[in-house]
Amino acid sequence: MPAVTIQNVSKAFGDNIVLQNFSEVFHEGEFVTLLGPSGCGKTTMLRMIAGFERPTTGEIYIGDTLVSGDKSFVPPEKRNMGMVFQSYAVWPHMDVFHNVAYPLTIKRVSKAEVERRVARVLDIVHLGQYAQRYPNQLSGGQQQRVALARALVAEPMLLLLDEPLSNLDAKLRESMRFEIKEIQQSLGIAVVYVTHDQTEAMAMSDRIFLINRGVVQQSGSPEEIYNQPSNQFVADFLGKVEFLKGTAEPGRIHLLEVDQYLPYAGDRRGPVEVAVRPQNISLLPAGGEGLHGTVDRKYYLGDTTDWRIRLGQLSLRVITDGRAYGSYAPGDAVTLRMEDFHVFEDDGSLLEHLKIRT
Amino acid sequence: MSYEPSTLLRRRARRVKAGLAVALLLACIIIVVSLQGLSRFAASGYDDQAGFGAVYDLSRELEGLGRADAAVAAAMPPKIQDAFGRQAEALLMEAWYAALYRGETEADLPRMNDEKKQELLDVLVRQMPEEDRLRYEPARTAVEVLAHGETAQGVPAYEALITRLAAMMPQRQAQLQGELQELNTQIQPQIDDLLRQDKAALFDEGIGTRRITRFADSGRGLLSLVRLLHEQLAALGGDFAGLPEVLLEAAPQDTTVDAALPPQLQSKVILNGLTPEGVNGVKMLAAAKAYVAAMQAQAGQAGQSVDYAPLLDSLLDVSSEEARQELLDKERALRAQHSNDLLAPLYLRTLEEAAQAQKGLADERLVALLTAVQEGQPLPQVRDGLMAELMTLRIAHNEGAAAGFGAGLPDDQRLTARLRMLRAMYAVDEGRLSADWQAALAGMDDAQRGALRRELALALAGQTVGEPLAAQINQMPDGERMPALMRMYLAAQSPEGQLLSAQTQSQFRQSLRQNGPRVQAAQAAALGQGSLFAKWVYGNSRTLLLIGVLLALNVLLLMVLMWSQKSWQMNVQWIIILLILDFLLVFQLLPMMHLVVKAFTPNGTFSLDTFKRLYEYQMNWGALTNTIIAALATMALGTLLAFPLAWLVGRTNLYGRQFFRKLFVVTYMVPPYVGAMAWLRLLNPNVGIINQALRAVFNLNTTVGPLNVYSLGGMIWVLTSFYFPYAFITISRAMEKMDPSLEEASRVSGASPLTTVARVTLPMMTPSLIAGALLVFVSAASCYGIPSIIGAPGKVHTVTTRIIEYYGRGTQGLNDATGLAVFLMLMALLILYLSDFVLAKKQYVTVSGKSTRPNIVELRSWRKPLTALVTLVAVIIVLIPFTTILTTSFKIDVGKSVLAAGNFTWGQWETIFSRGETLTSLKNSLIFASIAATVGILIACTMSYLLQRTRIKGRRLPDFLITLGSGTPSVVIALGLIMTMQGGYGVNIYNTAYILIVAYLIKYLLMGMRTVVSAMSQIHVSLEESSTISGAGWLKTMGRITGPLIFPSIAAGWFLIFIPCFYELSMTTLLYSNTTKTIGFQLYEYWTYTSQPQACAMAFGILMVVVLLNLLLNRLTRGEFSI
Repeated sequence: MPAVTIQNVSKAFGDNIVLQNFSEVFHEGEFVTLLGPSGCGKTTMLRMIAGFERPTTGEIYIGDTLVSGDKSFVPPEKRNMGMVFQSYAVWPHMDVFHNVAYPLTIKRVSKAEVERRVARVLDIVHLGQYAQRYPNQLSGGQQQRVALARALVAEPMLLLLDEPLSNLDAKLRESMRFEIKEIQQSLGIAVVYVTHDQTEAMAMSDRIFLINRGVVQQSGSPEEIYNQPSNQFVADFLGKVEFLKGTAEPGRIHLLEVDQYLPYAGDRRGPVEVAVRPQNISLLPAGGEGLHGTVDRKYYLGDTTDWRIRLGQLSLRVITDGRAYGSYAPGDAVTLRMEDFHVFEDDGSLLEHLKIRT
Repeated sequence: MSYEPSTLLRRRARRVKAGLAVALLLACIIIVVSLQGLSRFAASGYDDQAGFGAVYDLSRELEGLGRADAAVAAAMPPKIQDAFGRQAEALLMEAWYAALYRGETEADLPRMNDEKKQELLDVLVRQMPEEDRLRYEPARTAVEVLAHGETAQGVPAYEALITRLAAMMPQRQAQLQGELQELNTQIQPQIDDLLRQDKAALFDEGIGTRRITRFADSGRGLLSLVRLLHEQLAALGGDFAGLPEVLLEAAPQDTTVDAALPPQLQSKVILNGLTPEGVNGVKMLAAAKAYVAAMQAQAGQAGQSVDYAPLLDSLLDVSSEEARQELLDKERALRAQHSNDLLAPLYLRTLEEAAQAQKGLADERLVALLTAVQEGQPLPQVRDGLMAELMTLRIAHNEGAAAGFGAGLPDDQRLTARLRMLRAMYAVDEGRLSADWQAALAGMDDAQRGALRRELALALAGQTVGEPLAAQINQMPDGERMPALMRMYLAAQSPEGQLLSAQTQSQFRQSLRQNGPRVQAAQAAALGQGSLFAKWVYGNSRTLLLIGVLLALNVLLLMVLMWSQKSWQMNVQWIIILLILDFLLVFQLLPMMHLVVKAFTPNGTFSLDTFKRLYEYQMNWGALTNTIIAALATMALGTLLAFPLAWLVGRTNLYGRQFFRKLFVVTYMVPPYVGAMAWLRLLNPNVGIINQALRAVFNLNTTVGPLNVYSLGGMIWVLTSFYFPYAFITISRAMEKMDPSLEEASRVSGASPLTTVARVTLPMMTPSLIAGALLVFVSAASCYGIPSIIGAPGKVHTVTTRIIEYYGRGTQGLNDATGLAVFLMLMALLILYLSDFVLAKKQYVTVSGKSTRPNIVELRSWRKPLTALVTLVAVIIVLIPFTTILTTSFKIDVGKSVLAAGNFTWGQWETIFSRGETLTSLKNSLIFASIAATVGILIACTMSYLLQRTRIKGRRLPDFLITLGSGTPSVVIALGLIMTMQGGYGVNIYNTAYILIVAYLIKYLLMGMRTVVSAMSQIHVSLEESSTISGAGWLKTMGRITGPLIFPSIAAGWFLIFIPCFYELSMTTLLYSNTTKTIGFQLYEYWTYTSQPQACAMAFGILMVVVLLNLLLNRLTRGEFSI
């Protein structure tokens, strides 16, 4: 059974359209992430699922129930969902136990049952011994877990997470990331997760929706969208990528700024952009097949070495194993071999995208 | 992608638009109808709504009865209906003639007092047809003239009557006039002589009245009187024993005199040493009385006469306006009396002549009346006879009118109309049925009464009446039986056995007596003109007009809002906004607009007369300059005091900074007049504690000064000490919210802490500093409590005290008060605009939700000296005044130390707590303030929600008006409410508790609202959303999350409204009625008229209440809030 079905949902605030024609089905037990830069419409989508906003057009179903449509609207409190907010929203006037117990008391669950379930869910988030504390006596991570426990305690069909980790420090963020994933898997509920952090998305999601300017750019498993980006934006947003302009000819691509040829078996012709991830480029001693350049600069980063290779007018970034640091010195001639690259039509969208980013 | 609203939305929008159009149309209809009602109202000549309303109330009851009648009539056999109709009509006519007006006239004469009789006599004569009026007018005037001894123009009665009688005899007129003139010149010296003797009596009486001066403190006028008395007594060679002692009582405490001197010289020395400002008024009056007694005793012994004329003049000078007028009236009446006595022979001769020549005289009625009086009939009896005569005459007139009444109607309608008219008359004369019968009727239920009515109707139609009434009725003589049946029939109509409530009856009776248009209206009601609905509409046209205009405004506003939001959907929030808005429009904006309009159009047309008259008067200019000087000086001093204090307390490591902070903030909650009272005791030029101390320390040889609180300077000092907390709070709040990194950056750049204060802190504080200063300025300028207690006795007037003085002077005074109020209002609004709308935009310090810890400046070696300085300020500003209030409350003689022998008493406190009026006013204050605070906090919470949690258009409108209201000076709010809430605009809450509560709400609502709004702004919306997502609805979320989180602020807001309402004085002074006196006003009355120690006891009581409430609030909010 689908957990959430979204049909043709659009949302406009006045004349400003923030989300266009979103249609998707989220399945039970699935961890779905809405990923995108800030202002892309992902939070709006989440708030529409929660019921804090009404779609301008389109319909949203939770399970089989229509919750947002032209004529019908189910308010948030009737949707049986859990939600964790970016600011945690832990009520300062209640202790941890009462914060977590709140959804159950609203549902008039018996006292013994409340205690049992709160204790269980607090154990899940490792806060068993903090039940009597007040929020101001807790650290950020602990407050975050209180919010998570509160969202889970009523055993919702759906858990909504709105950038829940963005207020935490890096280390805590990393551990919470796996904790949330583990909890989700053990409970087997559907999660809709909103974030602008691609690592977070990659680490946790079954499926990622990459959204830009109100439009879904690509959806799929982390591996899919990382390895087969459908456009320059996707390629650029996920991980590091270098773009090279060129003209595709049968069997090869003429790289314009480099003025060298790249073997190409695909069937695109005309102006193209070649996207290549720096770690997918091999650095070989000069001579042999490949692009020829000279080492410009090199940075030792421990795990990796970050190279800048001069190719004609272009300085190309290449990432290799850290141990390769000593292999070449600046000024050395080298040969580059592209292990894996993507060819996109050069429609100017990259430029536009870059413009927005700056 | 463009988005199209769905058809459903479009359809809904169309429905909303249609609804709005209908509502607008309805509003227009209501307005048109009520305007028509108003024009009818104007055309019919009514000027009071009570009479108008009573007529229509009656007509409403009559309509109901008419229906019952029709049912009875329809149930009767046709033959009987016929008979009933014929007989009833004849009978009704007769009964009506009898009933018309008699209810209030002949039968009522014994019950009326003289004043009422005179009034009725005037009405009766005025209502006569022209020829009769000419005949009776001289007689009526004669009655009045004889009763008063003079005419309204002050011509002695006999003189006027002689002239009148002479005019009736053309051939004798010239001679009689000549004689009168001659005699008048002859008797003038005699009259003057007689008057001289009268002055003694007048003086005695005048000095005996307590209303000599308004303020017991100002005895200056009395001083010159006593000096006069001293000279008179000396001239008589009188005995001065005991007088020096009495004078010393009235003198300042340290006045001494050489006991070796003879009493006369002692008195002289004391009197010479006294200054007008330095004397105690009440004691001085006692001294004057002692002198008079000594003087009269001496005059009696020596057989000499005293010249009272200068004494009386001096006394008149110091009398209150009212007492003075009374004395002058008496003097004039005496003069008239003497003149009458001396003119009597000539008058009698003229009257005799006139009586003899009566035939052919123009006014035999006058001669007959005067002759009757002359023959020894008492004047009242003669007057009653005249009235009875006039009434009989009028009934005759009425009969003529009655015959014509309804003549144009068809037969059946004429009968109904006459029946109704009769009922109207019957309704206002309850005494027409014996008590037995009334009781019998009252005891019946509806069914029984219906049966009786039927029986009586049959009896009227010539049939027999059944038991048990038959026996009683049948015993009656023929002439009485039919009218009795008629009356019983009518009485049986009413379900209660009594036709109208006593109040309606008296109103109706009154309105009938005025005749003219009023009776026409009663007749119209009887004739059944206009539908019931129309009558109701016309009866309430002012209220309806208000409702109509409001409705139209609401609809138009709603349209504008929907249009600007581009959403044609109804929203409950808009309704709430409009409701709050309507309240503010009616009770706040309307009065303010009315004031402005009234000031510029005092007589209905545009004119600047009010302002011209006002500002031509020197005293008003003085008040104006005083107000501005005092407010400017208070602002400067207050800010100069507040800024360093705020900095020291907020940003340095001063010892006890938290304590000082609380202390200075608490003074904010003290009623200003309490401070005024304290400083009055401290700085009174003669007996002020500080003055006495200064004189002792510097060995000054004066009895007054060196400081005088009754001066502009004194007022400024007291204003400063009680308004500087306003600036203190504003400045320290901004100071504590300032981002410390801004100052840290300055320090890093190499600036010393002091340089940082001067170069960074101070410039950044400037907007808050100015805002605080402006707040002090406007508060000081619109303060009434302090100027009224300090300024008025010292003749230092301010605009507020002038407004309240003008208010007490009738219509013209009210106009003048408006002129001053408009000035005050415009000044306050200008400042409100500056500080709220111009300055607010320049605030550098943004108030962020996160609490920053301001960095604390180390004072190092300055720490101790500065702490000592702040302590000194606290002692002077807080401790000394409050201690003074407390100690004064235990004093018997305020001039002596509380530790002086025999000067300590618990009596003042006992008196306060045992006096019923204190407790009543305390109860009133608690009730009014609680209601205002509760209603206020409800509005505040609603507004906070709208402002903080919705994006609905128009939510800022009520916010704006509430800000405006609290920025308006109290006196202006009260004056506006008085002028508009007396029914003229369809709302009448004058003299009720509501008008006080409304005034309090308008003035103090903002305090509560700001608190709740800021609390709500700090609750992040996700706290509420996470409750919603947990399954709680809106109400549950409000009740369990938002409510508890902002509860401390709600409680604080409640108290912030409650406390100022509790001790409010300025508005209460204008709006109280005898049943709605509050504790603040009671305190003011005690202080001014009764006893200062008792007032101090009350003041300390109020202080204790305020402090206790503060503690309570602290407990309630677990220490989060105290005011």
